Amino acid sequence: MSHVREKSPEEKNLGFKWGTEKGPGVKNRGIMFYESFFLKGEEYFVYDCVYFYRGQPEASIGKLVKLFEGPNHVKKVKVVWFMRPSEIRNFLGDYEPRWNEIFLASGQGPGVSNINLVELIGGKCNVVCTSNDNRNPQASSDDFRCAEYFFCRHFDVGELAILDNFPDMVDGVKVENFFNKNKEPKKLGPSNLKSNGDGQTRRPNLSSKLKVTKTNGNTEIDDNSDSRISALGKESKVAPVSPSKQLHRPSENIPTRPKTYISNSGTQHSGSSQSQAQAEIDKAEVKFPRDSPTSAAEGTPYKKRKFFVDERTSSKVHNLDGQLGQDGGSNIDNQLVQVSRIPNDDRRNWFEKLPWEQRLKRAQEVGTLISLENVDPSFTSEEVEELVWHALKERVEAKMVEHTAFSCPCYGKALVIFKSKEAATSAINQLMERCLMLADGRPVIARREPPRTPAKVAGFVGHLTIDKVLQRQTEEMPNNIEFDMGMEWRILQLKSDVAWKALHEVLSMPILTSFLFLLRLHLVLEFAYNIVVLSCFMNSCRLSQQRQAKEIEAVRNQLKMRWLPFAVGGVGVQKAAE
Amino acid sequence: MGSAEQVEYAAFKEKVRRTVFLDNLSPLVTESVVRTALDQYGTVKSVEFIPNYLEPRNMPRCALVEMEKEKQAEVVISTLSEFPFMMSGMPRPVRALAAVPEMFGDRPRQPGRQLKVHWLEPSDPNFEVANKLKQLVKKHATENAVMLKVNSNPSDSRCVIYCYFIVNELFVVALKHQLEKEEKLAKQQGETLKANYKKYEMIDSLMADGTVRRLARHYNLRISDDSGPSTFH
Repeated sequence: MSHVREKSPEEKNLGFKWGTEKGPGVKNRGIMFYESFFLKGEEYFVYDCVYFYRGQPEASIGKLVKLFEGPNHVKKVKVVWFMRPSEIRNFLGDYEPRWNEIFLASGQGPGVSNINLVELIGGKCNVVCTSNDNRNPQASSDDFRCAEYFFCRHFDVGELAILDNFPDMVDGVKVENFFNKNKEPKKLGPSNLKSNGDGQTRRPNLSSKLKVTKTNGNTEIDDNSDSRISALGKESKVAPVSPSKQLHRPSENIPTRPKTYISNSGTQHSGSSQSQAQAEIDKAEVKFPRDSPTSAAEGTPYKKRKFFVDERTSSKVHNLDGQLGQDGGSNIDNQLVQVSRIPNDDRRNWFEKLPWEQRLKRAQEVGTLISLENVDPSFTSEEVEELVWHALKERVEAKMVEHTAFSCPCYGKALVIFKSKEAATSAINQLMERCLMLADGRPVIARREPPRTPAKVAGFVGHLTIDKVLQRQTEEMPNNIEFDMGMEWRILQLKSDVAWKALHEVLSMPILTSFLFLLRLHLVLEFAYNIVVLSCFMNSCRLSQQRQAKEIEAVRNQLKMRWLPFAVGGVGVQKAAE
Repeated sequence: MGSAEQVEYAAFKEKVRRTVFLDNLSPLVTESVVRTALDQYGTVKSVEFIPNYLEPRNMPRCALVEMEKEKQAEVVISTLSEFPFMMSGMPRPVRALAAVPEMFGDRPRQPGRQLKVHWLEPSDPNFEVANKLKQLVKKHATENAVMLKVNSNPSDSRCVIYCYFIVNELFVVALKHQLEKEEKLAKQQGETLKANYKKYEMIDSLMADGTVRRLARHYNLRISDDSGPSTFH
């Protein structure tokens, strides 16, 4: 019988909804029992293991054995508890429990089970049973690895002892319900998955950042949907696995292709922990991500967390029916979005690549070549490609321009070839309009790379030839004219080095402090420009130099910056060398 | 899992330590030349020229030479810093520096790195600063400037972009100036060399055609027959 109820206000807040009904109670027709319920986006089923927050520093773990609602909209669950070793330490005796071992409460007496409000549920817990009881389907090693707790014994509250053999009933519930669930033909992983903290004691915005690591297997990554990026504060959606709803579950998250996806949103949490993600590629068809709960309310951090990771995958063109992965990449943490890996690696090797020179030239002619400047010089080409893919949704080929002896150590430049001219133009416009910012506060700048003027094939500057005289390569000793000339070149090189260094010092300052000293920025740059002009043209323009020196004095007084003496000193050294 | 990456990165770092960055190479220098030249210091494992995509001039080339051992790389660098080492032409010496990871175009990424980016919408326009910057930018624009069109309501992030452009300008100017200096030095040396060569040639021709002997007989001087260290042979 279905009765229509209005949602009470608390329900709306919790996101609580009952699932399928089981039927009314036998003894009391006013009570309705259910198979499952939704709480904050998670579906909890009967015989799921969950965390409870009952005011103690450590959450309690229990198994839901009954879900029901009373006549006055009071939602309750009956829970059979698992004991932590700390709770029964007086009775452990010689037994040394492992760190994630718990004990099922059994027997007759208080403490075996309780009836609690659903509001106290903190989240799902992954518990496997490792008992050798023949009623217990054995857990695979993978299950065991990704479980948070395990139990193989029970604690009888009547006898106050830890026992091995399980009775037939625990608190009126068949013991088979406590053992591991049977493996479905679809071969799901452990049926209880820890989901993202949805309980009210956890903060709704998790700030865990999933580290992106590679796995050996082939997993697919899902696309970064636009909605994800725009949804600040969106909670992660990890649909729970249920034996019956396995493939339907991801429906809300799946874009056109059957991939699941998680997004972690977070506000800035000082206590956020970085969680390692590992891919678990079972024979399961669908993979589920996990995140670490970061709420400080949890007290003891969960030592072992297994997380599913997003991975590089095979081509996005092909839809692998095999294994799906999760993308944990984009974390909207304080507006910073983490860049995830591009979901394609093999596609690179399909075509024989032309050497870069030719590709560059061709791209320049077509107009698809863009240079991305002001990037972190320690980026690699792959990272640049990922960056572009993530931010602009374009697949590109990128190459970081290598450093030379005089490159500024705080700038990097990358050459990026887009697929089409429109893509390139739109990228430039977007970057100009909306300023893609890197983590250290620098905006990425895109410029269309001008076509290179053909290099003059005139001789190399500095190599002198005299006809009729043979050349040889050698290391010169100080007894001939070549040595002197060589040394002159050396001096010039050293001088240039000093000048470059001074320039880099000056140049690195404005960029790093640009956001802080924004108002002073123009003054800083004015000054920087003057310094550079000084160091470059001091030989030729003494007069202008004096004028500039006066200007610098004026600016220096305005700014009162402490690094000034060094830059001037650099210039001074050059003066002396002259 | 990360260990494969880490291993790769560690190997790469080790390779960087063993590699020497050669600068001021003539465009005529080929791989075999470099190899033979540096073979005296140890085993050369590989030679890679850094391609020059951006600078349109006839800039000196650079190469990354990987030696077998780190020690050998250090020896190369120290020797080349002390004595001018010339390859395929004189007298501009080749410069050697220790390599840094950014010099390698195909370097592997650091394991465990995360890139974070975010989009910045145009926030409160900082008109005064932006305007000043615009003026600065116009003032400093040199003939090499490739500036994007500036919109009329910039934001603070745009200011940073402007600053970057300015900075780039300075960089380009500085580079140009260095090249000019190098050319000047080369010209100077060329002239000195020519003058010296002329002198030597003159002396040689005098010695060859007997003028010197005649003069010596005339002045009762003895000529020793040692042809002095001819510098260009």
